Amino acid sequence: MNRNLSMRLAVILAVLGLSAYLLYPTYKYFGDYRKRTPEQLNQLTESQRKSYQSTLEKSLKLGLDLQGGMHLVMELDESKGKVQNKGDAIDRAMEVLNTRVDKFGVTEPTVARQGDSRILVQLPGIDDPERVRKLIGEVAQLKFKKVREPQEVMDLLQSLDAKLKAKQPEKAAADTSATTPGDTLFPFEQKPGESSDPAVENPFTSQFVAFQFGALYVPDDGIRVQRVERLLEELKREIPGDYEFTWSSEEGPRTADGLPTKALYVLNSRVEMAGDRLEDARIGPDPDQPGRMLVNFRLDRRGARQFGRITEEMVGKQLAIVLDDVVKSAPSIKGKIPSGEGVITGNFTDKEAADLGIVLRAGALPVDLKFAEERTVGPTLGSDSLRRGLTASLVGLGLSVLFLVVYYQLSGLLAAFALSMNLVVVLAAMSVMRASLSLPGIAGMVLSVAMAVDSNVLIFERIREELRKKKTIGASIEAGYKNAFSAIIDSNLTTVFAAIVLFYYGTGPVRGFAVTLMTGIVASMFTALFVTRFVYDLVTRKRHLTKLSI
Amino acid sequence: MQLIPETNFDFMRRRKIAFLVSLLIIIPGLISILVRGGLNLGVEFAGGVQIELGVRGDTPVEIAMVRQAVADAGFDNRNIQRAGGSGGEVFLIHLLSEAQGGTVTGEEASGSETVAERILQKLRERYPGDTIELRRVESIGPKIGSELRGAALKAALFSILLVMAYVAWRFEFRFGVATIIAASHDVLFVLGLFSLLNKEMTLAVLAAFLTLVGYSVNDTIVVFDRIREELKLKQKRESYEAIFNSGINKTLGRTLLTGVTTLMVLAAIYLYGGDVLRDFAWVLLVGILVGTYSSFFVAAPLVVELHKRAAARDAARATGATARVTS
Repeated sequence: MNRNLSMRLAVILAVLGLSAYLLYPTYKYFGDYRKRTPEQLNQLTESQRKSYQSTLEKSLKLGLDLQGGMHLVMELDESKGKVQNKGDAIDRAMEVLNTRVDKFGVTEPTVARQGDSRILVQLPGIDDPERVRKLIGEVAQLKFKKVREPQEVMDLLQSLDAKLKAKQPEKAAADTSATTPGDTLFPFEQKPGESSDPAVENPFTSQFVAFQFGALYVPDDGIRVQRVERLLEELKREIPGDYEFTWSSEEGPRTADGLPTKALYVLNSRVEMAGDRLEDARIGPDPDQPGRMLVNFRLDRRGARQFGRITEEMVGKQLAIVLDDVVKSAPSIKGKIPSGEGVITGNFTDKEAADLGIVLRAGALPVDLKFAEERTVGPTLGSDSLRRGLTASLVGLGLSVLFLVVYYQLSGLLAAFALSMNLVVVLAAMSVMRASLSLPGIAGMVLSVAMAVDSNVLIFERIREELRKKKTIGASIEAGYKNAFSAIIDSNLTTVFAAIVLFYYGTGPVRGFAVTLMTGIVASMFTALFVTRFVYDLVTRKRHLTKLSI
Repeated sequence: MQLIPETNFDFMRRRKIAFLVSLLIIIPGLISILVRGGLNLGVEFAGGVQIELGVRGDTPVEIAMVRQAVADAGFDNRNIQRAGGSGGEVFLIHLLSEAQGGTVTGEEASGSETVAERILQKLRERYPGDTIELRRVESIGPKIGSELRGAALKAALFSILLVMAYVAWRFEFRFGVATIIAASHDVLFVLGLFSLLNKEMTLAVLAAFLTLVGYSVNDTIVVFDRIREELKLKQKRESYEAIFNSGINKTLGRTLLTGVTTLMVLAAIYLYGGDVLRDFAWVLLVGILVGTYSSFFVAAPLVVELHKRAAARDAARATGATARVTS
C-alpha cells in the first residue's frame, strides 16, 4: 500500500478508534451499571466506585423527555415592586435554588441563568413534582447557630456508638463495614480487650475520616453519605434535642485516595439570630491576608444588640451560618462585635467570599420567584419514548441499508458501512459535547443518515453515468467523486444553516435535534467523501478490476 | 440493478400545469389559515396547560367521562383527544390560557397551581379501580408563549435569508431567488395542508418545518448544480430551456432514489415513533414529496422564466438604443 493510502487508512482508523474509546463509558453505563440495584452499588470497592463515578460522567446522557424528570423556568416576580438590581437578585435566587436542588439527590441537576431575569432548573428522574414545586417556591431561611465544641462532639459520638452497638451488634457491623483500610478515623483510644475493627467498636464514628474545624468529614462517593443519613435516622431518638447534625455545602479536604468529602456539623439547635436582621453584606480585600477577600456585613439595630451578646459569649468558638438547613460557613468569632458591623474572614478566595456574601444577602432579602414554565415527563412516558425512538431508528436504518445493498450491490455494502461509521462518530461527538439525547435528537440522527444516503447516491449515480460513457473504472470513480463534490457540499451546507438557526432559537429537545442533525451531516461528508473514496482507491489499486460492483 | 432508465421528459413545457396544481392546494390552505384565525398553536406557543394522562385498568375510561372530570374541576373541556398508547389508554388534554380564550389563569398556567392534580383527582374519584397517571404535564405561562412565537418567526425568516444569500453567492442571484420561492412554496403548501387538517403546531413541528426548508433547498441545489454544469458545457449550442431540461432529467435518478430512502426512514418514524414525533414526521413526509416536486417544477422553470425576461429586457434596450442612434 503506498504512502497516500496508508496515511488515509491511519486517519480512518484513528477516527474509529477515538469514537470507540469515547463511547466505551456509554456502553458500560447502559449495559451494566444502570441495571444494578442500589444495594449492589453499595457493595462496590473503593476503586470500583471511582470508576463508576467517572463512567457516569463520561457517558452519553438522556434528555428529560427520555428519562423523565422536571424542567422548570423561574422568573423574578415584580408584581409586588420592581427589582432594582436584577443581576444580584438572580444570584441570590440561584444560590438558594442550588442549595435546595442538592437536597433532592438528583444525579445531574441543572440550575442555570436564562436571560437577565430567569432561572432554568432541570431535575432528571424526579418522581414527585409536587414536592419540588413546594420546596422551590419557599422563601429562603437564614439562621445563625452555635457550633458544638470538640469535647461535646466526641462525647456525643461515643454515646451514639454505644447505643448503636447495643441495638444490634451484628447488624451494626454489617451496615457499617466495607470501610477499607486506610480510611483512617480520627484517633480513638484503643481500650484494652476490644476488637481492633473500628467498624464494630465505633459503628457510627467510623463513618467519618476526619474531624476538624468543628465538622465531621464523610467521603463523598455516593454511598457513604447515604449510609450516614440512614444511621442518623435510626439514631434520631438518641440524639439530644439541643444537638443537631447539619450538612454543609463546603468542600472538604480530599481523602488519601483522592475522593472529595462532605462536611457534617454538629450544632446547637437553638437559633441565635435570624437572617432577617442582616441589612447588607459586601466583600472586600482582607488586609491581614493579601490576595484574599473577606465579607463585610451590617445588621439592623436589634440585630446589632443580639449579635453583640452572642459574640461576647463565643469568643474563640465557631458560629454556623445556615441557609435553608445547610451550613454555608462556620467562621470563628475573634472578638465581641458590638456595632452590628463586622467582618467574616476565613482565608476565602474571591469566589468563596462572593458566594458567602450572596448567601447572606439571600437570607436577608429573599427574592420572589414565580413559575414561568414547567414541563414534567413521567418515567413511563420517558422509557416509552426511548423505546419507540430506538425502534423507529432501527427500522428506518435497516430499510435504508437493505435498499442500498440491493440497488448498488457491493458498493451499497460499502455505503452501509460508511453509514454505520457515521452513527458511531455522531454518538461519540455527542458524548464529548456532553449533549443530552432527546427524542427529536434521535430523529435528527436518523434524518442525517438519510441525507448521508443522498451523498452516496449522488456519487454512485455519477459513477454509473461515467461508466456508461465507457470510461475506465478508475476514471469513472474519479469523475464521479469530482462532479458530485460541489453538489454535496452546497446542499449539505444549507441544511447545516437551517440547523444552526434552529440551535440558536430553539430550546431543549429542539436544540438536541439541531445538534445531532449538524453533527450527522458533517460526519456524513467525511464518510461519503473520504472513507468510501479510500476503499475504492484501495480496491482499484490492488487488482485489475474489469467490472465495478455498483 | 438499475431502475431508472435515461429519461428525457420535458419538464419545462409542463410548468404551467404544475403551477396550477400548486395553486390548487396552496390557496385553499391559505384560506383555511385565514378562516381559522391563524394556526392551531400548541402549548409552547399559546400558553396554557397540556396534560397527557395514561390509564390502565379493568374499567375502560370513556372520553366523555374525561370531559366531565375536566369540567368538574372547573376547566373548559373542548380540547381533549384520545391518543394511541401501548398497554392502556392515553388522553391528551389541552387547556388554553385565558389570553387565548380558555379557562386557565396566567398563574395556573405557570405551574404554581396544580391544575393537573385537580383533574386527576376528579378522574380518580370516578374510576377508583384503575391506575391513572400523569405521563406528561406542560405548563407554559403567557409571557414565555408569546416569546417563543416571536422566536419561531425570527428563526424562520433568518434561515430563509441565510440560505438565499448562500445560494445567490454560489450560483447567480436568479438562482437564489428561485430557490427561496421554491422553498417558500413548499412551506406554504405543507402549512396549508397542516391547517386544513387542523394539526397542532408544536416546537417539534416547527423544527420539522425548518428542516424542510433545509431539505427543499438541498434538493433544489442538487438540481441547480447539475444544470450549472450543463450550462458550462452547452450554453453556446443549445437553448436555455433544453439545457435545463436535460439537467433535470439527469438528476431524476438520484432524486427519486434519495427521496425513496428518506421517505422510508420518515415512514418508520411516523409509524413507530410515538405521538410526540408523529406530526413531525408527517410534515417532513409531505414536505419532501413537495420539495422534490418543487425543485423540478417550480425552481428550475422560474430561473428560465427570469432569464427569458432579462434577455427580453436586454434585447429591448438594445433595439431602443439602435433606434436612437439611427434616428
